[in-house]
Amino acid sequence: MEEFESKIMVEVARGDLSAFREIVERYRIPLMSFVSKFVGDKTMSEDIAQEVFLRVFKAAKDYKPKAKFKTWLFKIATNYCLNEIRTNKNRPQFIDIFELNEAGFVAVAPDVYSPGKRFDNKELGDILRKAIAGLPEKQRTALLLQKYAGFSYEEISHIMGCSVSAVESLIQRARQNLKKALLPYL
Amino acid sequence: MDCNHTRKKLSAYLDDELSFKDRELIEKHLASCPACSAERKGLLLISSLMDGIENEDISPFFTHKAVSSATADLRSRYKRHFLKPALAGFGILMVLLLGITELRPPATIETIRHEYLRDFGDFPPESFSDLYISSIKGAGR
Repeated sequence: MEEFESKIMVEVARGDLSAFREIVERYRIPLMSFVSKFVGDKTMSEDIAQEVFLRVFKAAKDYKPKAKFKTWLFKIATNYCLNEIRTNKNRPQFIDIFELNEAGFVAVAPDVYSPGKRFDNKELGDILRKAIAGLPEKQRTALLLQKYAGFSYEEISHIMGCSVSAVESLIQRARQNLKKALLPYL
Repeated sequence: MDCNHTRKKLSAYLDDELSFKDRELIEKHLASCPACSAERKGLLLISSLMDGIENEDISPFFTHKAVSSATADLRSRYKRHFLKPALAGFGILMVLLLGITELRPPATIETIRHEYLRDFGDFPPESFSDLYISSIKGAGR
């Protein structure tokens, strides 16, 4: 698999568009899954994923076959997502569920939460999306790379440039924060 | 292993990121601690809810759009690397040619006449043409 991708990237570096198409076809679903949960906005996430693939095309010459291609791709994606979120001032503002919980506002929001109301999977999914988007950047990055891109803690540590134990701690805190945020709905 | 340590390691335990020995220690603690066991269930629930989040639909033109962007990038690279230097080279060549032409001494009627008649200098001696050209050359002096 890795050898195949290394060969394909050599072709991409030469400007072979059919090889590039192969890379896009292979990785568009996991990349979109990661990016959409990271930024929490469909239109923005598709634009970001497009830009990530273009960056892969432009930087194909710099790709070293000894590095795992998927790790390299998601490193580009993570950096780009973080950059976009920091610089895009017009992005939709997410409700900070953590702050709402702490302030006790969640229980009085009638359209979202009412005692005894049963939440279906779609509603819970939407609430969870918002909670994920509200997580601190590093916790969100580590959790999403593990959950939706299928990376091991060690691979995540390479992507994020931190230790494995730091990744372990980030993922643990991310899950605890999500649990706290969703507690009123469960 | 105490509760505090177990809770710090719970996610790694659920993600199968622990050594065999640590895993055994966690399992032993979970079997005897209802609070940590409940914490484990809570984290498992979050994990399964995350599994249930539907993926966004990807535009059917996604791949086409990505390849089009790459094509545009290739074109701009071509312009940058080949076309622009080629045009610059052509421009320099034209300037040099114009410069050379401008540097040549201006042609006089006499020099034009001399160059023209030089091409007609190989007629057989004493032939009519030779005599005619000689007379013209002589007239010019």
